[in-house]
Amino acid sequence: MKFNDATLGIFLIIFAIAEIAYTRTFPALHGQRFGASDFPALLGFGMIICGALLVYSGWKQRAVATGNEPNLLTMQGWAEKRPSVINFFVVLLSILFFIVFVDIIGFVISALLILFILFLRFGNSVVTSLIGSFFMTGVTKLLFGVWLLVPLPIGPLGF
Amino acid sequence: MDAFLAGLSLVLDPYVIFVMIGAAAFGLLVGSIPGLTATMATALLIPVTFFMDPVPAIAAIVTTVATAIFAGDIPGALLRIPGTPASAAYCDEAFAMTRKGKAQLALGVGLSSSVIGGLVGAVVLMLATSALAEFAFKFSSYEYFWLACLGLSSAVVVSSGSTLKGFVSLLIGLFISTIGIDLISGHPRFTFGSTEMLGGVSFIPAMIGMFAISEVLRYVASSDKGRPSVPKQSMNSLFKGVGGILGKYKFNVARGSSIGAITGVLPGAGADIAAWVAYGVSKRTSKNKEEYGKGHVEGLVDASSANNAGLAGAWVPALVFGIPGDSITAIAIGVLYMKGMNPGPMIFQENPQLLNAVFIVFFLANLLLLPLGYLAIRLSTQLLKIPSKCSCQQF
Repeated sequence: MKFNDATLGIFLIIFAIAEIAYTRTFPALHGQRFGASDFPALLGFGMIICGALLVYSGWKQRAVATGNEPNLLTMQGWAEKRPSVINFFVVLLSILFFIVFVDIIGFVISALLILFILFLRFGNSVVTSLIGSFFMTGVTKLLFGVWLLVPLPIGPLGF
Repeated sequence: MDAFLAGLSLVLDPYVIFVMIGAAAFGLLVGSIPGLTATMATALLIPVTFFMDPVPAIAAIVTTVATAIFAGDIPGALLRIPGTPASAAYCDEAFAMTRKGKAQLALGVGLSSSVIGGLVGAVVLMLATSALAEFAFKFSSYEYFWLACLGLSSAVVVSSGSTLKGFVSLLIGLFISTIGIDLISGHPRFTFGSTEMLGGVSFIPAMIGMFAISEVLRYVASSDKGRPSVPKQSMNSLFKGVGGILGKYKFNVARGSSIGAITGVLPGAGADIAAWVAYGVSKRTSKNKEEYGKGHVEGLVDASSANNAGLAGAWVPALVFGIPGDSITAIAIGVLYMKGMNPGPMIFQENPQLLNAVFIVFFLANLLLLPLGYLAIRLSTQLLKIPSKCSCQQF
């Protein structure tokens, strides 16, 4: 899957406009004409200029290559293949799951669950996946949580 | 000379050497774990240094940092995950070499350049401490502004492919850096009411997200045939061909080390910016610009020597004025005070032997890096032997 430069440019411009609009809500420093909004707004204007240049270059490249109107999204490659798309979203959802639930169920349970699902998804047997997930969780917990004193979320297990 | 000999006798104590070897092993471990920085390694060492005399305490910090900065290159080259922010500038380049079956060369060159850069930094620290400190303190807001611009423009220069997209990435990066409390006005920006976001997005999650997560997604989303493969490689002759490359790019080694030493001296700059600037300058001035990003060793020589040279540079303002050159020396200054070795202009009169001991420690730490770094590379290359079916879930 590949976005045309023009698509990226349009996304960038929309994002920049939203960002600039949001910075208008920041207060100025008391008695001054500047404040917290100036630098982000400046960045937003830079993004709009870059976005416009991307739209222009994307449009030009596509027109030169095909002589037609530009495709905004090319679905060639991995996005056409179902397993690749599933793999992509499994990893993405695993990260989201970790972010949302790690403080509730703790590091050990969330890491075990995520690793087990990923091991299974990438073609390992149930036994290998179980051993692998327990081993990797144990090693990570020991290394980061115990030896390097990184405060990993504890959860209901109490460790 | 007497002070130098006194410093030498302090450092050559077996206990100090033992501490340095232990610290080197610790630094290599922490540096090679993506997400843990050299600063964290130093912070973790502090409780241990409570129980040490001044020289072993400083030796432990210097050795840990020198080895951690190099160790960051190892996961960068083997997995495309920089172990420390200082390795981020040339992580893609080193990984591209690994994909070409040249991991041995990438790590061999990285290790040798780091050692040379570190030694040059130590020489600069020893010979020019007071002169460089004076130079650094002539920098006012204007000079820092342009230095920041130079560092940021390097980020655009080093991006392979479209310069425009490099610039877009720079703007997005700068936008991410605005998230959190605005230091001038105290107003929260783009936090949307979340208290966790008030502190902003720190470098580690950003780096893991940009490099590691993107690499994992790219890997799992590609089919077995299209999957970027890393050929099985041996590390038995790590220094094979390294001499030739360092000879060919001797100017790059000298330039990278100088950039590192000078950038390191400027308070707030440090090894990370040194690596970016050195890599950017290398690409800008190279005859083979188009090869950068595709596994070309030249930029690696520049940047790898720069980040280690930058470490010693950061100690210049720390020792002479008690002002930290980077986050690591900020912690080290605390240790210096704790050990009664108050940094400042008077340190040359009050503690010349301890000051010389610090200089010597820098030399020794970088020399120790050579054998211990070699061992670390040999051990870490087991990573490449993990079957790909398993390795894609290890992150």
